Amino acid sequence: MVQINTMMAGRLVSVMALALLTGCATGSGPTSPPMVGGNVQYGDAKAVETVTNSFGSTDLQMIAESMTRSMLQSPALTAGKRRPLITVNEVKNKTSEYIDTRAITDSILTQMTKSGAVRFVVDTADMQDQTEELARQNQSGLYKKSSSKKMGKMEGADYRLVGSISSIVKRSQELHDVYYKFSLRLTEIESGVVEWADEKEIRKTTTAR
Amino acid sequence: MVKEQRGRWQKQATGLVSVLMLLGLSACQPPPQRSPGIASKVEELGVMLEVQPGEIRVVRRNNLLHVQAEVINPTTQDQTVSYRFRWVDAAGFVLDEEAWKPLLLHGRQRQFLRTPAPSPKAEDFRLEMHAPNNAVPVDLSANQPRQPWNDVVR
Repeated sequence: MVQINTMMAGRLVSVMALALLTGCATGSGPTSPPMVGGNVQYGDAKAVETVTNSFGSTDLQMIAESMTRSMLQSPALTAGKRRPLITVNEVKNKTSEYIDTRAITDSILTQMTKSGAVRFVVDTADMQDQTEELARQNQSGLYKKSSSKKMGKMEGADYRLVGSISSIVKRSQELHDVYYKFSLRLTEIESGVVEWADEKEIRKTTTAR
Repeated sequence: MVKEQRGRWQKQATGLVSVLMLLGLSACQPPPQRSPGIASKVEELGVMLEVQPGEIRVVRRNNLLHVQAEVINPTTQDQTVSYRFRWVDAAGFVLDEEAWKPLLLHGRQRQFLRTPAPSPKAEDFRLEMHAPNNAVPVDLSANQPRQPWNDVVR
């Protein structure tokens, strides 16, 4: 009887030791070193970027911030009791370089939403996904009727946001000068009245060394 | 040939001496003094020697905090600084981080940085400023006597 108890105690100790060991172990084993090497460094995503004078992260961030702060002061958005609904239309890229204008409008949308002053409705780019989701909930027969979202309940926007970015590039032997102008307008959909508009200008110059 | 070489060396030596003197002078230059009101709102990453934060005004309009901060370049040369505002809510928590923005100040120019807060939650702010080309590290300036800005104007 005593022998059986000793054996059981021994097994218990082994199981506990194993559990402790596995608890301490990392996913790739206790001896796996951190992945180091190469010249990779994490930088400040908000830092002023002056690598080249083509459109960069600082330009995107400055434009989004400037437009958001300006729009937040518009009486059209702040005067009423109800938070207005906005839809984002296209921002045309009229420059000679590739610029992801969607990244700019996404940043504006994010910052405006965080401010709590406005709400955004699905824009044309997201409409396909929205209608597919509604159709799946209502027509696939997979969802409970009580929890599936009804068709015909989407809200129409009060305003639409439309804009453009253009540039003027000048080159000489010593200088490469790029001037960007980002324009944004907020138009009331029902009346077609432009309720707010603003521009952000950026000049970037590089000198030959 | 020897004369030419000697002349080149002399030129190089003179250049080196001027650079060293300039470095020495800028190291000896006393860091500027800020008024307590401005110092409480402006956070410099190193003490800026050539660019001076000026008057700061704060007002609440349409439920948003609006800030206007003056930045002065008392020198005759163009100066570049980076800045951003850091917004804080009533509980002292920092709201979303802003991007650093470059600012070019022409010689003797005063500029106003004007911005509303990103959200009605913002109750206070700090102006972070960084002038990489004309700032001295904070630890170097810590034990040096501070002079009013007028003494630094050239």
